[in-house]
Amino acid sequence: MKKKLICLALAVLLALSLCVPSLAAEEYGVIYDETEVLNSPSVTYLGEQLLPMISEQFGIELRVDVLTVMDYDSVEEAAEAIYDAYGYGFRDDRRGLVLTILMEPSGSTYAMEDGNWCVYLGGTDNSLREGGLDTKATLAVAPYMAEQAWNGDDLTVSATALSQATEAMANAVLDYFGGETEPDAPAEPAVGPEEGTEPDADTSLGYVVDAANLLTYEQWAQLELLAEEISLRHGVGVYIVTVDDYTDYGTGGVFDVTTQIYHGYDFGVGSERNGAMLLLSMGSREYATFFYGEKTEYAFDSYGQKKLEDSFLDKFGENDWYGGFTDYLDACEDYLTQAEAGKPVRAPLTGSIGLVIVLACLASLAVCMSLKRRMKTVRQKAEANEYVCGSLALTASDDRYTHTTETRRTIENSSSSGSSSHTGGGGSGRSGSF
Amino acid sequence: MPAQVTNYQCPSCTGPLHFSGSSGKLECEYCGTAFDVAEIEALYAEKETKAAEAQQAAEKKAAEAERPGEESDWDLSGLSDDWGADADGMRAYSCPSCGAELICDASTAATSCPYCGNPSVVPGQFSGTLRPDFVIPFKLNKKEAIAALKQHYNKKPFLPKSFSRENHLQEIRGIYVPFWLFDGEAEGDAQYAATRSRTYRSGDQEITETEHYQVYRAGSVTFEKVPVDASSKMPDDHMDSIEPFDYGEIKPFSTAYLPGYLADRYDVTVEQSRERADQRCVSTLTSALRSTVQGYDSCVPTGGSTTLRRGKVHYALLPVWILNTKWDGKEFLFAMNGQTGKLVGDLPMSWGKFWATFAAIAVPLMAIGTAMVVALLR
Repeated sequence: MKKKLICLALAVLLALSLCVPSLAAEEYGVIYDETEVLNSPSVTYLGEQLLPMISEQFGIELRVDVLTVMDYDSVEEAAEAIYDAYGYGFRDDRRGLVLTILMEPSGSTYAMEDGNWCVYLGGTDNSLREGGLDTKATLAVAPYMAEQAWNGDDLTVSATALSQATEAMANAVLDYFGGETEPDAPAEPAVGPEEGTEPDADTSLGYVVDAANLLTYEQWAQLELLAEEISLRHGVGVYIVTVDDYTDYGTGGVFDVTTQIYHGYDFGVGSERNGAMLLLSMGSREYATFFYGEKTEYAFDSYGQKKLEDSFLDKFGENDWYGGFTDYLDACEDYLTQAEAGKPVRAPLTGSIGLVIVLACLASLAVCMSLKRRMKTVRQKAEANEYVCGSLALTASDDRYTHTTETRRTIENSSSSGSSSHTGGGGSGRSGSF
Repeated sequence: MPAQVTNYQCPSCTGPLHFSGSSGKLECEYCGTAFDVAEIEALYAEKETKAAEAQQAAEKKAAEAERPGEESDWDLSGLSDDWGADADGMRAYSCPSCGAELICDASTAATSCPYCGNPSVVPGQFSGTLRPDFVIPFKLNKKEAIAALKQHYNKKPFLPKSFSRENHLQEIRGIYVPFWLFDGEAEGDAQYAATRSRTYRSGDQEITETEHYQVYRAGSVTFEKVPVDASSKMPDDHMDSIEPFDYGEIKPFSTAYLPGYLADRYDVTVEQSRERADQRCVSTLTSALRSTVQGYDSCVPTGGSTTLRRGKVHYALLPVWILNTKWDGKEFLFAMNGQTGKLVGDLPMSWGKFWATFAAIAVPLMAIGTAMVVALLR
C-alpha cells in the first residue's frame, strides 16, 4: 500500500514537472506567451490596448497564443481545443480570431518549425467564414512567419516578428470591418502619380523600408523594433526609407518624392498622421527629411530639423548606415521626449538676445552721437572755394590708356553642396547630399 | 589824454563790487563776499603794474610789426599807419590779463576785455596803429546776436541747464576783428592713376576686366581776399567757421563805423598768416583739378606740383559778435558773423544727459527686440 502511494505521488510529481512549462507563461493583455521572452513595448501595447480596442469595437475577440508544448496532432487542432476550453469569443456566437504559434524548446532557446502556426476563426458566425476573414488574416500574417525570423537564433527578431504579425492580423480585421465590404476589391495604388507598384492587397509598410538593401536582416529588425517603440510611445511615426533611385517613386526633387511616398504609403500615426521620415537615395547619395503633423512640427522646428541632421549625417558620410539610422532614431526619441515635457528643441535664445542688445545699443549710440555732433560747430576750413574768382582755368588735360588687367573667379555652385530647408506636402523638411 | 575806465569786480566770481557803508567794505552783489578796500586797491594796483609792463611789451612788438614783412613778396603797398584827422577821435586799451590790444573811438568805453573777460583794461597808446583798408560794418545788432545765441542753445538735449543763463548772454560784445585779405593765384598740375572696370560672367567664372589710365591735369585758380585773421587772441577755427563774409558790402575804412564797437589791433604779421592762406589756396586748386577727372571707377593721385603767385594784401576789420564764457572750469567762446549772422561755438555736454538719453532709447529697443525674438523662436 505504501509502495502504491509512493508510486502515485511520484507519478503526480512527474506529471506536474511535465506540465510546469505549460503553466509558466507570461500574458501581455490578450497575448499569451509560454516562452516568456517575446515581450516588447509594442507587443505589450498590442496585447493590452490595440487588440482589446478592436475587439470591443467590432465584437470579435482577437487573441494571440504562443505555445511551447502541444498535445495535439496539429496547431489547428490545438487552437480549436484551446478556443473551446478557455471560452474564447465575444457575444452569443462567440466570435473570435486567434493567432496560434508553436515554438518548441530548442536547447536554450525556442524555435518554430516552418508552418507551425495558424489563424483560427472561432464562433458560430458563418458570415465571417464566408467573407474570408480567416483567409485574409492568414495572408496578412504570413509574411511575418518566415522561418528565419523564428528559428531561435535571435529571439528579439522573433519578438519583432510577433508584434508585426499581430499588427497585421489587427489590420486585416480593421480592413474587413472598416468598409471594404467587397472582398475582391483591388487595392489602391500606393506610390506616386506616374509609377505603379505591385498590386499587393496589403500596402502597409513597416517603419524601416530598406529597398536599397543597406542593412542585414538583424539590423533591419533592430531598427524596426526601435522605430516602432518610439512611434507607439510618442504617437508620432518615425520612418526610415532607403531606395536606389528616388526618381522611381515620384516626380520632382528628392524632397518632393519624399512627401509623395509619405502620403502615398499613408505614413503617420493618429488622425493627424503625425510622422517624421528620413529617405536615402543611394544612386545620387541624396537624403531628405519630412515632418508632418502638428505634434511633429512642434517637436521639430526649422532649427531642430537642422540640428537633427547633425546627429546622423556624418555616419552616412562614412557609409555606416546602421549607425546613422540608430543615431537618427535616438535623436528623434530625444526630440519627442523633450517636446512632450514642454521643452521642445529650440534655437538658444542667448545668442539672439545678445545680438538684440548689441543692435539696440548701436542704434542708440548712433542717435546720441548724432545729437552730440550738433554740439560742435567750430571747424577749421581747409579750402578757399568762396574766394575763387571765376573758376578753374584748365590749361592741360590728358587721359592716356596704358593697359588692361583681368581677374577670374570660379563661382561655387551652391546647389552642389550643403543642405537646404523646404516646405511642401503639408509639412516641412530638409534635403541635401551625404 | 586817454580816459581810464576801471570797474572793480569780485576776485571770486567777477560780480560787481559795491561799497557798503555799514560794513565799510566792498561787497560782491553776486556771492556776497566782502573785501577790504585796501585789499582790492592793492590787487588792482598789481594788475595795473602788470598792464603797464604788458603795454610796453606790446608797443615794442607793435613797433616790430608795424612794417609787416619788409622782405615779404606780397604787395603791401596799400598799407599805411596814417590815420590823418581820425587819429584824434581814437582810443587804445590793452588787457593786462591776456595781452589783447583794443582800439575804439572816443565815445566808446572799454569796460572789460572781450576775449578773457578781465574787468580792468588799461588805456594805452593809440599812435602807430596800422590803418585798415576796408571794413564790413556790423549789420546785426546786439539784440539779434543774443537771439541767435539763444537759438544756438535751443534743441541741444545734452546742454547742461545751468549753462545758458539770461544775464550772461547780455555780456556778448561786438568787436571788429583784424584780418589780412590775400589776393593771389595758384597754378599747378597733378597726375593720377585711374581705372575703369567691367564684370561679366562666362560659364562658371566671373571675369573682371580693369582698364588702367594715366591722367594729367594742369590749371590755375585766381583768389581774391582770402581772409586770415590777424589777431592771435581770436582762434582761427572760430573765424573760419563764421565765413564767408559778403564782400559785396565791404567798404573803405572809416572811423564812422566804429562807435559802439571795439576793434582789435593785429598782432599776427602778414608772413605769419601767409602759410594759412597758402594752404587753403593749394587745397582749393588740388580739389578743383581732381574734380575734372570723371568717368572712372577709381582715381589715385600719383604726383603734382603747385606754384603760388602772390598778389596784394589788404588789412580789413570784419564784424564779429563774441561771447566768452567760463563754465565748470572751462572756457567757451561763441562767435557770430556780425554781417551774416552765422553763429558758431562748441557747447559743453552733460554726460549724465547723454547716458540718460542713451538708456532711454536702448532699453525700449532691447525690450521690443527681445519680445520679438522670443515670439519668433518659441
